Amino acid sequence: MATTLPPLAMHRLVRTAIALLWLIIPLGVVVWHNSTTPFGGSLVGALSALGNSAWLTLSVTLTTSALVLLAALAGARGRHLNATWASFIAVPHVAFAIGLLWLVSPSGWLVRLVDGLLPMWQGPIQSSALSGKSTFTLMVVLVLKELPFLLLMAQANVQQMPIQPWQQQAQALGYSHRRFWWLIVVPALLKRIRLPLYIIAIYTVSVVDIPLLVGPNAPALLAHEVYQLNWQFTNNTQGLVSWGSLFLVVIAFVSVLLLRGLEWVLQRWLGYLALTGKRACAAKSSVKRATTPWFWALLAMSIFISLLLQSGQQSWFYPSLWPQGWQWSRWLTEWPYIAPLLYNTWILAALSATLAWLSAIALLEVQAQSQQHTLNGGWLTMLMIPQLVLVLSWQQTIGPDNGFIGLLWSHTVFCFPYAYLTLHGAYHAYPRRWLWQARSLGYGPWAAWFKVLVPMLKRPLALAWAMAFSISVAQYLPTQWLAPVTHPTLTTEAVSIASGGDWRLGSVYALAQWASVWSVFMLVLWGTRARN
Amino acid sequence: MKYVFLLLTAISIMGFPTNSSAQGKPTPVYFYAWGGNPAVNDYIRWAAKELRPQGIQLQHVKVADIAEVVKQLVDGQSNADLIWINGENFHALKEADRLMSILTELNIKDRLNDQLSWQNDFGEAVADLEVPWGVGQFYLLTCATCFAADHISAAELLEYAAEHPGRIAYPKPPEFHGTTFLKSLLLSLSEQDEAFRKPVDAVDAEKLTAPLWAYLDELQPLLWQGGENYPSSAAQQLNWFANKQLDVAPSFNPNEVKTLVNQGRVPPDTKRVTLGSAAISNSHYLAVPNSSGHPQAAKQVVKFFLSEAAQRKKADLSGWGDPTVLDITLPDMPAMLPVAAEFHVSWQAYLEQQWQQRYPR
Repeated sequence: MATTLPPLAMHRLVRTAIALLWLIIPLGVVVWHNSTTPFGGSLVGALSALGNSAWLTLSVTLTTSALVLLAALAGARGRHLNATWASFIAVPHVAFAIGLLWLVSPSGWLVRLVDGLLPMWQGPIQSSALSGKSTFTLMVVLVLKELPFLLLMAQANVQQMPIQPWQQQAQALGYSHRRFWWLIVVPALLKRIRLPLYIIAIYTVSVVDIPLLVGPNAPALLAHEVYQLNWQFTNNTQGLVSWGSLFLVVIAFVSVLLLRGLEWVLQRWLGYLALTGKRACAAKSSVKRATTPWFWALLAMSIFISLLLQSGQQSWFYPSLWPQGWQWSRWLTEWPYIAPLLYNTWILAALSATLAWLSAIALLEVQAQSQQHTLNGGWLTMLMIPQLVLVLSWQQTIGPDNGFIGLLWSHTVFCFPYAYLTLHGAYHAYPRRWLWQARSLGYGPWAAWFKVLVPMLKRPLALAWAMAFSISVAQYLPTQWLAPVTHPTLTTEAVSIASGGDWRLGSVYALAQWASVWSVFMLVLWGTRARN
Repeated sequence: MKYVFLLLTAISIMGFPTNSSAQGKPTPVYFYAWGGNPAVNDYIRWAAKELRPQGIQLQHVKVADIAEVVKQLVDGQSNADLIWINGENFHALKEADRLMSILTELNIKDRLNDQLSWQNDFGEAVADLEVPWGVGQFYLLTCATCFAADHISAAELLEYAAEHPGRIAYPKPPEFHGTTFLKSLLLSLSEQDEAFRKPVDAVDAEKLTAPLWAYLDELQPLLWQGGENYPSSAAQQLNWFANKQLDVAPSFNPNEVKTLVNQGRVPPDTKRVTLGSAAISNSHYLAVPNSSGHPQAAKQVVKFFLSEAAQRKKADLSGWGDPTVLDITLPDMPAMLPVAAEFHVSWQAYLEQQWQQRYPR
């Protein structure tokens, strides 16, 4: 790509520019803000007030991440990203939680079904682990929502591994397919999905909207607690907010360390099993075909149907299996108010996704040219710090509604690492000899890149853009705290409507949000499908 | 020469309209208000439509909790032109001197219903800084067969909870419905209210609240989930009540027993019951921050909201159904509940902190 400038200088320039834009300046603001803000209250006081929340957060994070990891390792065998998954990843978190609860809560649809079938049984379930608010409900929602992301990451990595030759060797040595997977592929995979796993863990540490809806509150998770404390006026709460933010960062760090420890233990254990374990007799047929992930398809479908019915019902009380009255006109009356929000959401998402995507491509190209193929975690720094801490500092420094640029910047800061992460595997697995061959046939560096690399990588490239787009659509805190007046989006509206608990209107917004992301994923998948 | 000068001045004044005028671009008014109630949102949409001809573009900035904006205003970081507040939020803004004096200027005092005692917002003098907009009365929505009377004492509630464990809940303080639930219990248990209208420091709060904590120790294990978790908001509790997971849901709008049925949010046989002999009553207010970029237009909006037409529309039971603050009679409105005075604002933080030290582990 770079011919005019000496390559090294060019590389350095690209890296520095990207680092300044999406890492150093945003982080600098945070550091500057926090070093100039007095730190009120004592550590002991903060620990006694927030200690329980902190422990709860750490245990929920570790349990959730470990479950997601194991499920992803077990589930990542031989499937490819298809429409079902993309649809699932596109579900807004809050909409997912609402839809899931509608199915399984103590007065939910499944209970109503039982109630309808067993007339002697009276009323909704009094208490259940999956009640409207509990640690267990929260973990179920988080695991189900996060798993597809890690599965996606795991599969992208598996596709770059030389699975076929490994498998032939393993088969020759008498390993069953299952043993081959766990003893040979998984140890290699564990290392490669380390960073996505950490991202999930840190997301769990800092997520606010889902715990507000379904999480426990006596005590609440720490991020939830800090979010609410931030709006209190008593003198000692500001000190608590500062300490709480610090604890969030510490918990994020500790979780990552412990997950690293878990990986180490798993590696040791699998290694031990591989050395001492028995071998089965000849394994059966090898490569698994791409199958429809029925579980996910069914889950996405049920959640979609439940949101759709909710959005059109007029009243629907326990124990009715079907809405008692309809009001589809809600869609029509809301449309004039949704349309400008759709426009805001799309413009912001398209711009920030494009900026993030271009930066990610430039960075990956520079890295590929200088032969650095390992994923550099430093670029994911912004995902490694609880979002609440970052946005709070930005807001207090630049103030709310200081223009579109600040908002766009904040979104891009979060989109960029996801674009980089999503594209990294495919980009580095690309055999660059194609580029050299093109150059030797007389193409210039740009022409070779555009005419040879882009067509071959069009699907991963497009998916990375779609991923960045979906991340921008989902942003609540940056939008609500940096530009609530000038740039409300579907997500900020959806959250404020959800605060009133009217799921009929809430579902309209959730579906509009879902449709935004879903249509982009579908367009990408359709536009880049393999043509035979 | 003098006339030419005057003429030029007149032309320049006419030619450069300085603020909100019907010509040209409408003046925006950023109205920060809770966005969780579709009926309220629809009402504000209606108001925005009505205000368009006056050259005002009323923009409802929906927030999940108005405290977000109050905090920003106190920190000097907000572009709000108009806010919807009361109680603690008003107190914080008044203390930080962030509100504009508007009440006298708007000249609406003599049209307000003085029986609502709107002059004090949680025991704190309104002092010209905010204008009453509507009325809140705290009571419980309940099922037709749950309670026979239209009011229940704290003791009767405990009795009910013992017979029906897990069917009673209240939102977790500092959510204001939850805190008001505690206040109602306190009134019912102590059978006097004089002391609670004074600042918490001026009375023996520990002694006054002792019966409440003793009572809650008994009630707590009988609550929903044995008091291990709480509804986060009145809205959440309302949904569980509507689907028969709970027997009560708190409300601060005396007409909501009708409007929620009309909206299909709760079953048609829902009725209201006050906790204690009377309902803790307060007003909710509109205020214009000092930092507003469009104060004239904001005041015009307040004036509109206090007009008879706007107040009638607000009280309409097919919509929001919020009682009027004006001295007018509206037909077909459910009767107001017997009034218990709101506590002094300092009790809010005291009760919340005391509660927090005792209950969630």
